[in-house]
Amino acid sequence: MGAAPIAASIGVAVSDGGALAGPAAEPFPQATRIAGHAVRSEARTSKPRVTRGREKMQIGRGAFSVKKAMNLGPRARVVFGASWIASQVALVLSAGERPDRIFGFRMFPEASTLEVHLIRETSAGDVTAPRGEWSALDAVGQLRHFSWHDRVRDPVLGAVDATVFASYGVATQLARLQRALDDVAAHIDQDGETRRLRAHVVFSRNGHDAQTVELTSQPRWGG
Amino acid sequence: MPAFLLRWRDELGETTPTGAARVAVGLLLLMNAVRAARELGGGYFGDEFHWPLLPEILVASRDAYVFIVGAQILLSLLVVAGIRAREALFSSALAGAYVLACDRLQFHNNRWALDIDALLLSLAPCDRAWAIGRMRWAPRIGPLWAVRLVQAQLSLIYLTSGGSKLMDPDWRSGRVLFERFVLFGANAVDQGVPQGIVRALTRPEVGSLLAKMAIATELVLAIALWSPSVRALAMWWGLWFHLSIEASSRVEGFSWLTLAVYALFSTPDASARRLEFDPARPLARALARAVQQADWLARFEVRPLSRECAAAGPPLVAVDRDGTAAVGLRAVAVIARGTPLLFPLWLPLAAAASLTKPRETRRTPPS
Repeated sequence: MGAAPIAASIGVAVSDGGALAGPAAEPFPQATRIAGHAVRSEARTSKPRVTRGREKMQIGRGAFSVKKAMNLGPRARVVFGASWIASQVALVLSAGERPDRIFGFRMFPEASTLEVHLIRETSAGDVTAPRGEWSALDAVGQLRHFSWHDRVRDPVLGAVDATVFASYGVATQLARLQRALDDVAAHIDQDGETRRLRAHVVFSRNGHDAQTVELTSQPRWGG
Repeated sequence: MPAFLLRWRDELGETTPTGAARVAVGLLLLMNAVRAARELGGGYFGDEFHWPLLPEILVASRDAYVFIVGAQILLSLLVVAGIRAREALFSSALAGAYVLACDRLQFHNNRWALDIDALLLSLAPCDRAWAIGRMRWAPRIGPLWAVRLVQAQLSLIYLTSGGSKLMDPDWRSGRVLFERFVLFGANAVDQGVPQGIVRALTRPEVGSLLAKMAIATELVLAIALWSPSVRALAMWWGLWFHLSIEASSRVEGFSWLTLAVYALFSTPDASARRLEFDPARPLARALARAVQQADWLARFEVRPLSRECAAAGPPLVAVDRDGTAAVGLRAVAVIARGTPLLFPLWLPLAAAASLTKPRETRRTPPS
């Protein structure tokens, strides 16, 4: 028996069964490739389920169900498939344009390290914040304690004054660090001294000579 | 419309491997959700520095996030059990993608790959096998167009990963791998890897060789997995490639996700190979039962030999897809090729079997 007659004879059997069973649920009863004996065993056994499925559909279900919507028709399959491939390729090709290279599937892109040192810019000059901790007076002159780790818990960004592996590469971590600086600077309302936060970053890309870069947060007041 | 496109669109086939892949994806979704729940115990991401893709107003609140994580656990259990599995996969994929959009610091390639594979699998008939309440005789044939998209996605990942390494001079020269070995060698020794192996790996020439092998492996796998003539070899190589990555790096569930997708590359038929055993011999019976249990992808039809055949021949005969009957070590190699748990041993077994004297007969291919 050829594939098409087999499929036609089990038109419902190749559908989802249960609530969706029935020739209408399967857009392609005309199978083009079917595994021989597996199909025949279905043909032998599928009838009772089909009946139950139809009953269920008439009694319990309306015209729409999530699963039915997920059984795409022939045209929808082609449109979906083409859109899917195009969108994935576009995401991969455009990954370099995103600061953290997400959606690019670049596995193990680097073996780089970085070390972040935190500095506060105040009216009295630059003050280091060892291990990301510092104390500063608030608006009414009360001394308060602040910690980088109150906001930043990421294992790479949270490691101040320590050399860490730059997961996903230096560029990704610098992009994240820039936003972390802005975020922390925006959340230390009671710090009446710090104008800006600055990160002095020493990094080594793939074991090459160390380089440094300075990142600065948005000014907290006064530009 | 081109013929290949019509073939892809209309292809039907056995969905037992798709069901098995669904269970694996469900377990990975569960692991992911449990990890998120554990991290939630340490604090809600929105209370600390996060970097959303979405406008801040659309980021899940604490209560909403708690609900999402709880739902992800429940949905993953449904996926594993095969109860409303496709809807659960679809919802899991959307929830996962939404969480990544709420905080791109949580982005990892493996999590994104898991979400998109879950979405694609939800469009495939992955609930016809390996599902609680599904009768053994229930139909398992279904459309495979979405399964082929999952496979294409894996090829794209291999191409992208291998291609980006190929374009990077530090990767090509082996510098990246060498530095990784230098940076993490001490950790490996702490975890029990012999110092001699770590010392051997932390040599520039070894890093260079392994880097070229890794790039070639990824690029070749992207193509070779589609070729019936070399697929088994490619899968075997890829399996060990991923197991070695799993052993040496923290990639969450990516290796297991990839190996689950490998199941989808298997020929979409059922019981195309046969295992015939002598029911009078307890060892043969036990082996046949073991193969039946390990036959996750429905590769074998296991059946007892007739009394006459059993008396005249060996207690266990494996009949390959082409009708070649094998006994002894050759039979073990045929079994290993078709069972995921033994597949890592397939090539050495097949190589050893090729050195043995064939005692094979041609049998009628399974009807």
